[in-house]
Amino acid sequence: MKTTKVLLCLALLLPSIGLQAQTNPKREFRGAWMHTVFQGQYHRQTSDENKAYLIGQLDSLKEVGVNAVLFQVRPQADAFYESKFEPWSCYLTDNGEAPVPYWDPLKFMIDECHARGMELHAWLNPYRVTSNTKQIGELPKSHIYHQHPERFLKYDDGKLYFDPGLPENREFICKVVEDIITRYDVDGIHFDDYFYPYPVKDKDFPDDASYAKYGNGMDRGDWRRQNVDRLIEDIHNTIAATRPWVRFGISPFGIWRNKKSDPRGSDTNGLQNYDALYADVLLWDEKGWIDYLLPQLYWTLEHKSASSLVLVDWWANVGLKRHLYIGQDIGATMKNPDLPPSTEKTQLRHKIELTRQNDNIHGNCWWPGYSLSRNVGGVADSLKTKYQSTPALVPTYPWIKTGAPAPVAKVRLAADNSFSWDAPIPMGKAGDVVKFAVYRFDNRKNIDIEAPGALVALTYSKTFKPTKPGVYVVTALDRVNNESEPSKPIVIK
Amino acid sequence: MISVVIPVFNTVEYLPQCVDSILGQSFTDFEILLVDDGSTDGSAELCRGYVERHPDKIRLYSNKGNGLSDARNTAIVEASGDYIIFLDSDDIYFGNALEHLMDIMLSHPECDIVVAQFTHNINCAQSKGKLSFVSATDAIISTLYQHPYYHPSPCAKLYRREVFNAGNMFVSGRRYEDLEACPRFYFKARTIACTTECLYFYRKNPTSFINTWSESRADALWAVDAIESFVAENCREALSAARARKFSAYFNIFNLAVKVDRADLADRCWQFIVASRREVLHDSKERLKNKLGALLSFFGRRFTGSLGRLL
Repeated sequence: MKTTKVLLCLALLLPSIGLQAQTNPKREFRGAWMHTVFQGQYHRQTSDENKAYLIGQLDSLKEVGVNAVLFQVRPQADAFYESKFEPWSCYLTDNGEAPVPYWDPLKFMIDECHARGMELHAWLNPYRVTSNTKQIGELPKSHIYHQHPERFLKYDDGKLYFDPGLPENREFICKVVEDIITRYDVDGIHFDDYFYPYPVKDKDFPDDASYAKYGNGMDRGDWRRQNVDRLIEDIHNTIAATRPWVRFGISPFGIWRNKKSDPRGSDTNGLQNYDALYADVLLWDEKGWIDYLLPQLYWTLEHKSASSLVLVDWWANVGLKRHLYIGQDIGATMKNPDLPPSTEKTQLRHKIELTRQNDNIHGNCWWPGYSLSRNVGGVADSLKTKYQSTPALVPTYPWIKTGAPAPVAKVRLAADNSFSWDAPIPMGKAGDVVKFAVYRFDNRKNIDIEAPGALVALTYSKTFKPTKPGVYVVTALDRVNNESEPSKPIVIK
Repeated sequence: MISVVIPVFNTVEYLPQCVDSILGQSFTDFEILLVDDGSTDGSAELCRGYVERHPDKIRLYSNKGNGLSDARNTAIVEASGDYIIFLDSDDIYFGNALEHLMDIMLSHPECDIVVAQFTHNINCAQSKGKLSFVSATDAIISTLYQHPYYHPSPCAKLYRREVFNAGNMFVSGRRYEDLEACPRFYFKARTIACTTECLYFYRKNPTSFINTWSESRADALWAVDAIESFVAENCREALSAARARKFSAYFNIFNLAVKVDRADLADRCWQFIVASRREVLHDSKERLKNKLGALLSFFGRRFTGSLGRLL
């Protein structure tokens, strides 16, 4: 009788044990977008308040297992950093002036992200200059628009844009990117879904003049796509020639083309990158101009015209050469029930499992990042305790560099029970050792850095203070996350 | 931060529920701006009590009976939030309203206004709904044609504060100020999000302004005239819709004017009805009610006056 009871108890416990033992991948991109466009808090707060606010945000992101922050530093031909070419952003200060007391948000974010073991990808909007008509009158005197108004076009959405058809505009945008990557230690350059503007009904983009000059009789659509293609290629070349380890990633609108427009397209019925925004994102992958595609699949699993179930599958099987991460909308994910027969109240587990079941998908990114700190629909709780409960390394980028760096040397214990190690000084190469992974094991016999749950921290510092006794090893990671062999173990009592 | 604007005038009975509905929100980054408009029923004292208890969250401004528009404008000018939301002092927001509205706003930085719905049923909070996005012009057109979900009230909407820049606020000294202002607010928005979620509880007040006749009801005519000129100047695509809304108001006021023997007002309305009834019958998007009214008017003024109010 007693045994039966025990067995019964064990049987009841099993499912929960299964849940506990759920293992999350050791390598997975876990991004969070932090947009600044139309975010009034940055302008309203003092410099110190801004810093405290961002630290609060980053602490929350770290806590839920995020390992890459996509911070919008150029919302509209302006800067959340000290730019050589563009004024400070109107979402930070007035009249394009530097903040007082001075601080540089991009520099600050890089330092604070790295201090938390997270990557920082600088997010730029390539063509947008203003978001409404009123802002045109408010562009600071130093803005390039005032020197070259002829290079800009106003569309019927009320926004002002760089004319993508002009080679001098492409060069300018490349210079902006080059300036960022040479002066700031960013891990990536990120563009989102905005290329040619989202179309306003019955209104064509007014680029007759540049088309007449550079169109060479091409189909207007093909010519526009070529303009964007060239920008993407030029940015890739700029990065490859300057800081080759900096990844170039794009998060396009979720549909490339619908099946009814192209047999290769997805079984969806929505706006198309290729046709409406002139963004042939599949070509950029095929040419190897980008390092990751992060389509914004902001829809529910069952959405009628753009089901994220259909689209995850489509992107994963379309034959991409580079990494694929999935852009997840926190609202759509947390406020809609899972598909039957599941009775779960959110679509979070289902969506994460979809991305983990397919080897062609290498991670997720959360939109908007601010909703993680607000724990919208309990998303932070679920990520923290389940789906991102253990840290993960950002994937490697073997087309940039392969081969492991040398292991760290001289792991040594300090009096306060922290330990440190040595690693070579960075030389400005993709193979530079810039960060480290720390693993913990119960004893010396089972040291296996691939074992689930062994990875305890990612750090850009050469010292670590453990909170638990155990046997620790450290690995070195280069700038594109190739990992060394483990160090000699160190025992913490 | 969201600035919650609450104009207060003699609602002592409902005010605690109203303010508490904000203090108890799941979204906590807000400030409350109470503007007392010279209440005589103890509402002002109640407001002061709230400020004493929550000095970090609530501020009180005192107007002297200058009306609802001035009260709201006072608060818009004083608001320090990036977002503004309006609440009438006898109504409430359901507990997760601010959070839902902010989620939509935060996820869609291209939106300047999020429109939600209100309900008369306090047990009917509904936080699931369909979300759609429209241009300013389309929102103006839908509102003027009185389509479902596109209400002209400033309440149950979250605004980015830039909408009110350059003095784009409420016209003082008029009623129907909300109807008049709605297209002007929408016009400033790049994109408008509209959710079918019911987030606002609206108290049916049997003695409220809308249910009784007063001279200021003629301000409805002022409002629709003002909308027509604004639309004619700024977004002509909405002109038919503005004319339709105008017909609707003129027809209603005509019937009321007949009922209370205001011949001068009835004359003014009748002239417009006669002049525009053919246009109304030809507009394919026109509401059925307006079309019936226009048809009815062909039977003559007296006939319309006695039957029109049944529509």
